[in-house]
Amino acid sequence: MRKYRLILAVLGLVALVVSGCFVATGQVLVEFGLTSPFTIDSTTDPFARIFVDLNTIPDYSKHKDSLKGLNDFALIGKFTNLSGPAGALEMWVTPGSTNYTTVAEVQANATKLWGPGTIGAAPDVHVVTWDESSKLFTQAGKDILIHEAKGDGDFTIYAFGTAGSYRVKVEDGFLILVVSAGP
Amino acid sequence: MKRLSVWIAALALTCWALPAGAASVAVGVFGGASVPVAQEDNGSGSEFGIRVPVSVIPLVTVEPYFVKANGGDKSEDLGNLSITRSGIDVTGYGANVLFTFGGPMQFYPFAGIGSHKLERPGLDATTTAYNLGIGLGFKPPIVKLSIHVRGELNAVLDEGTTESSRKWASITAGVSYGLLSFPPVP
Repeated sequence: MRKYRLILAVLGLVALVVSGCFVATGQVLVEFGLTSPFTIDSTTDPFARIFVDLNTIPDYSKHKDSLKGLNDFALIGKFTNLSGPAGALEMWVTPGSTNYTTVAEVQANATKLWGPGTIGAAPDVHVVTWDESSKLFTQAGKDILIHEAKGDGDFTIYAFGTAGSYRVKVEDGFLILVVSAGP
Repeated sequence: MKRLSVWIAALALTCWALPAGAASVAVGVFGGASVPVAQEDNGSGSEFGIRVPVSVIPLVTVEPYFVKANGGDKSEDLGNLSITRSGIDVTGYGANVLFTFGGPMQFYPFAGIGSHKLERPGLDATTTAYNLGIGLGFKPPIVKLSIHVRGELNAVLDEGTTESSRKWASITAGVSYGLLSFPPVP
């Protein structure tokens, strides 16, 4: 009798794992490196447009077909205010590849993803940490990322300042996604 | 709603065990190590808590618990930056059912359900947790103390989905003290 109970328990566990149950999932780090450095300048180049194709990341491609959700998201990097007052940066996102040409156009058609990430007056240097960054993303932006991560993995991010005048250099910028993946 | 259902489940488990014959109630404390399983963004930490084993019928003990675990930080080198993500702190309560075998030296598989809160910067979620493990207990003669060592796997559902979870393996040691016994032992 005891033997049958053990067999039943083992069979149950195997069934859970094989069926793709929540028990068999794990959290996988996916990192996307941004162009480094890039500069956003309110007078000449007011925003940076970043085409993200997650399919270029081996960790993503490996788990793409078994993605269950997005656990965490962050944008980290070293931000240097080259000139101008203290201000803030924001990131907006659109599904797929888009090519908006003004900040107003981005704000009218994209969804705010992250921010505001603050930076002091020039020549302030601010390294945005993972903890700090994770608190700054919006639910609406996160929903788009989840949808895109589960879809074709292709989206566009726009970064710009909120102060009237800014010139900010971003170095070692990375998008970090923690995705749930399972069988 | 989820919290309420966990409370009801815990209460039902406890009540299910209560009406039978000889019963005992104890209180215990435990502590140990908590290791994240397949979590690339979370580190190992420690945990401690309180258990209230209610034993009513032979083989079955229902045990409400409270647990608090501190996750370890996770570091990663990206470009020229070294970044750190704070570990996930867990606070939870629930109830396990233990199926005990043996006499003074006991072996018991157990399973249970709880409500666990996960916290770190950017994360504040309370969801359902499932527990599964095995334990060894030793009850020295005469004294009302018993010593326990357990290995356990906790799966805490991700917020808003039943398709994925975070998991921890933990090894704990604890001591329980017998509070009540029905009928009283002479």
